[in-house]
Amino acid sequence: RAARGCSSSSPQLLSQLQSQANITGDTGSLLEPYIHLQDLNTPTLRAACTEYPVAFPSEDTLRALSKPQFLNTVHATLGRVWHQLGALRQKFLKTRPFPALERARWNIQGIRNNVYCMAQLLNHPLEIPKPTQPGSGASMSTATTPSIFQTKLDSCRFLWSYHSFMGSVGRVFREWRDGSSRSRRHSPRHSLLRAW
Amino acid sequence: SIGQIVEPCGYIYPEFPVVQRGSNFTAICVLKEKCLQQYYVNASFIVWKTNHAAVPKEQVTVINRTTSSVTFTNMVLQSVQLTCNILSFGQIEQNVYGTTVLSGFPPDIPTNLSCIVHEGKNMLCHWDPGRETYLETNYTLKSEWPTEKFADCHSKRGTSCLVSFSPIYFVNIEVWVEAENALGKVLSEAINFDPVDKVKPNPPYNLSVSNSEELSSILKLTWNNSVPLRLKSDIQYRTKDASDWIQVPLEDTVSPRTSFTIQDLKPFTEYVFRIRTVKEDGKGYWSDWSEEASGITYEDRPS
Repeated sequence: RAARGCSSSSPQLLSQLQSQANITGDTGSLLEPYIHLQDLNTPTLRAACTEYPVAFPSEDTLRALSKPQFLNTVHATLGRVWHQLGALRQKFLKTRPFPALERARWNIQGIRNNVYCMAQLLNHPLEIPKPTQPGSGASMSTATTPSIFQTKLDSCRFLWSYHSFMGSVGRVFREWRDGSSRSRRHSPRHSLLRAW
Repeated sequence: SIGQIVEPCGYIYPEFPVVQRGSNFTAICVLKEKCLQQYYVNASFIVWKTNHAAVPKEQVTVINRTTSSVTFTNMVLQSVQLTCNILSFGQIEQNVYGTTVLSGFPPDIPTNLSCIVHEGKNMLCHWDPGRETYLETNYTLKSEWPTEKFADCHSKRGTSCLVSFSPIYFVNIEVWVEAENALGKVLSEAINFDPVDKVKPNPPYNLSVSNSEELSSILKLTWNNSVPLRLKSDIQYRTKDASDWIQVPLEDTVSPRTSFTIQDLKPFTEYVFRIRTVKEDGKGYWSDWSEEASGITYEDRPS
């Protein structure tokens, strides 16, 4: 039964979730503007940005979850991303506007809304997520080194990991649509990111 | 004492009367005891006036020493000055209290609510408010997701509201209108839609026209689309001096594109072009026309 305001059509919700994953998986929506805004636009710094990716749930972890667990994980993980981007936003409020960040936060809330609606449709309302084991890729603490440059780089890695995570989410949702979400077929990990 | 606000000798109740048009209305005026003695009056000395004209005695009832009532049937005037006056010492008419009686209608349930998303800018929703209420009526556009409530949009004209935020695509939003005045409050039916299906794209831009030396009957158009959505196009052209536009069959431009070649043109002739776009599945609204661009077909080769 759809919650009030939720779409009652699972195909529509899935289509919306996939479109959202496409948007948020695209580094052009947030990471690229961040790289240019923070003067990290050199091959060396771009490479550094993709080293030591911040731990998000891996695609294999996501694929192994049941549908309700998957929805819960996405909802909880994006909740943390939303807060993390809120902290990042505070830094920009003092310096210069970063509209892409604001838009990204709204897109995240939009995905969480659709995930909430999908969970309702599956009759598995979302639970409050329990802290999960390290390595399962749910924690997102960033390095605490206080240097400004290190903080910039840590945020860059976080955004890169976030886009990568959304790419994985998009592929799992696509498999839902194809009805092959249970297959163990490991599709080669396509680089979702733009060629560096 | 000097400077002290003069205490009225009585009050009219209700103090701010708003009455449904065409209905009956009764007001009372209650005099203060101290005034009764001070001016040697009682409620029978009260003279009711509307817009400075005395109200006929038949409409007035003395309820007790301090209170007189007046009744109006079929109130139709939008605004009436109602005053309660006394004949002090039996002859000097003095005003005791005054108020304005407003008459109008409770708001109708707003209908035909629909919204248009101006891509990347805002969302404009408009509705039919129904009959004129003749009263100050507040229309508020409400919008929410199941998990998020958005800021109310307070309408100035009562028929539309410009939502300041640019709605997020691919998330169904529920929108409705609340209408409220002194005589009642009503809610419209909610509409539930994905803003991406209500988009009016910004017009295509950077429209440019290029001719072909090999083929004097064609001109190639290229342009940019403003939104990262899959759009279909509507292309029209005319010769420079013509006034009627020629329509490129819409079925020829249903797939997303940023270029198109127009054929069967007259050689060495100047043509003007314009383009507009809409979402590929036809949902939403056509953009405005692009700025016009012109080009000249190549000369025919001497045969």
